[in-house]
Amino acid sequence: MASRAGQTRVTVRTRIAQLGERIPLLLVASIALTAVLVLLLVVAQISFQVQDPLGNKTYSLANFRVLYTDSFAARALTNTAVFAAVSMLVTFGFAIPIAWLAERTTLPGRGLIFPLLTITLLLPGFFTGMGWVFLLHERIGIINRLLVDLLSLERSPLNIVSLVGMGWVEGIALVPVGFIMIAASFRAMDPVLEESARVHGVSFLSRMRRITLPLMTPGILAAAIYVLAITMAAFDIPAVIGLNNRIYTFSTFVWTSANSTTGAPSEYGIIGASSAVMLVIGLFLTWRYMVVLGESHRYAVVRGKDYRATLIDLGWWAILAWVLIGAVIAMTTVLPLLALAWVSFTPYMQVPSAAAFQTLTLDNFRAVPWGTFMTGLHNSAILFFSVPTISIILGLAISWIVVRSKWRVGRPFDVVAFLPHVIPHLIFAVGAYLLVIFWLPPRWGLFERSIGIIMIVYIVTRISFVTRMFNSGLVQIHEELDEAGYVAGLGPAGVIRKILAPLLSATILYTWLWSALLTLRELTIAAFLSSRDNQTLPVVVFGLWRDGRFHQAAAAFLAFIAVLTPLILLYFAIGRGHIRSPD
Amino acid sequence: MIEIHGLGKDFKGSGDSVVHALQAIDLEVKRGEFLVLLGPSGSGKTTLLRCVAGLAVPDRGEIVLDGVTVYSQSKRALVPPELRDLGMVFQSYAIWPHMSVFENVALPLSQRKRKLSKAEIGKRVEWALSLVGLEHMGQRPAPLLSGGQQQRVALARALATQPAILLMDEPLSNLDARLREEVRKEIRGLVTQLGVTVLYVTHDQMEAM
Repeated sequence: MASRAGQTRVTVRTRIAQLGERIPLLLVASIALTAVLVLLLVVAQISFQVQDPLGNKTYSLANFRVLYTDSFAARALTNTAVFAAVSMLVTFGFAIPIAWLAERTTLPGRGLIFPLLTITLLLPGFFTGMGWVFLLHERIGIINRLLVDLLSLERSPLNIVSLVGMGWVEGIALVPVGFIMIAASFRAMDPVLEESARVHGVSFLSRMRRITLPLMTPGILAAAIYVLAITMAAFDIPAVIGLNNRIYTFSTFVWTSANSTTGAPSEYGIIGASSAVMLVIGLFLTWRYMVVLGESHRYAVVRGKDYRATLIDLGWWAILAWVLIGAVIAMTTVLPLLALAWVSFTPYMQVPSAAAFQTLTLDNFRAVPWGTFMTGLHNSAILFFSVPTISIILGLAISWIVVRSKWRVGRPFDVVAFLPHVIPHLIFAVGAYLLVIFWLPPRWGLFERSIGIIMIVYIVTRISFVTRMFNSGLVQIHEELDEAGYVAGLGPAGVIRKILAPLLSATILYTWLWSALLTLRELTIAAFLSSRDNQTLPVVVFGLWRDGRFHQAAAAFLAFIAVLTPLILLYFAIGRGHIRSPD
Repeated sequence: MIEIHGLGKDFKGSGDSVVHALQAIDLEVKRGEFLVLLGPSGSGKTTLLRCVAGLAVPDRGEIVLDGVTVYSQSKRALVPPELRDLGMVFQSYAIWPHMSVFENVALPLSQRKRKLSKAEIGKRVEWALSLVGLEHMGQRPAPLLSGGQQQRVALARALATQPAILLMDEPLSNLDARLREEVRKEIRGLVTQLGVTVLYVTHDQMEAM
């Protein structure tokens, strides 16, 4: 037995050693999660702040009163509701049947559905909007012009520049997201439940209505909440279609207010207040989402080890099924892409014809401001490498604390890390914007114009995805593997580095690639926070569009696609069959 | 070698209820002794073992390993498992699947306070593998091992650092009856030969004898 003094010494030394590796882990995770909270708290603070012309600040509900009485703001919020409702209907009207086809039938080639729809998800959303303007604009839309000529109509039958039109495009663009989530809940439900109904003589439609859909309710609800959160703050499509034609939704209203400020203090209050309204809705949806997901465990079924579902044979209906899927892929990707390609080679808007082909030119490509384009490419490349790398390091620390540490902070960390999942990313961008204006000292002005601010908000909004991937990955690793590491003399950081990270390497790789690709397509946050020097590639294209240089925007987008294509191919080469949903 | 005084550990049951997994446990294992904890599942023997390893933190009492207080409620002392210098064989064996047999056994050796050279580590790994009769299996990837071989690797890994104390948590429960008998004898022979102090958990009376 050692002496008492010796023992005390050992204890003190081991205490420090024990904390040694835990402190950095806790610190890294806390910094990331504090950033999440700070951005949201700034929004809340500014929403109550009223500043008089002399700069005296008071706190009241005045901003919310203005929001309520100001017809422009109120209009934007009701517009948002209509827009979101239309896109939800469109998204799930297509996504549910396609998910069922992919998961529950013998449809030939159904393995292709997932990758085909994933491509759409990786292309920037605003391009779908641009393409559809070229297709269905009241005056210049190619489809409209063709229909007028074909049916000898007086005026264009369709108009994309409307709330319903915008909702339609947004809904179409989100079909892949809805599909992935619904397909996952089909997969999570044991088909034996459907089959037992079948054996007992329940018809197809009754099975759908009485068994399948009720069992999938939590999954469908979760997907609906997620998509609703995206649409209510969607920026790309309302900006591309609505801004030039003065149809405002919440996001474009806030963006316009931020970009046209005369510097009057009251305007920041309005931006804060309208974002705070969205934040409250977002928090409510987050809570509902967690409740719904918690309930879904009630439906868990103990399943036999090698159980295979008997899939439904569609027979000749398979042709109709592929027509539906083909139509969706055409509408989300092929048609808009063709329209953009066409416009990028034409000197002025015209319907494709033999005569029009004579006029094709490369002038639009020459007129693209390549200097700005290269700046955008440079900035996007920095984000492409830094954002996923940093997110993954933060995510590993957070997930380890949540899943493995048994510390009391685990649960609160889990909740905070989940916030960016359902709270619109635009709110975080607004938070960063207001933080720079109200909290950062003026000498930090350079930071405001650097790529750093965009990087931080990207990382903050990525945290929920990364931690969810790692949480589910960690749960699958037997805890005795870590424990054997501790007994072998490794500390927590050592266990993460030598045991958990190698075992998660596949998950880490897909998470990295997926995050990197989403970084390239992101417009909302970048458009909100960018100035001359920190524009990303999507912002450059969007800027051309905003300036009315549509042909050059189309040309620049094609160049963007040329950069993106090899990366998407790389993703599929590495991801072969392991592509995970972004939820 | 292992001294336990008044050890207690509670778990939260359903609602507000508390399950007293361990209550006022006093235990002493002398150097070179082989102590078997025998009892039905749920009786707290694995919890006791995990408290000794540092993988679970007790709520009351004191644990002294080889003269060092590794846990004491009154002195507020807690040594994390990585600093307790133990060997342990897990019920699932916990062979790291991304490493070879050699790497599995070498990892504990590379974490010693006194740094060992590569050659030294190699020699020690060979020695540990030869103890369990796997001397030519070093380069085999861990997932390609049979259950019995995994068990042996787990034992080699636990003994490689020549720890004074070896903890074993149901180490034979995943083996078939014939193999169990064989490995049981081997373990017995090895620990006698090495003079290591063993705390062994099982619910099987045959194993305990």
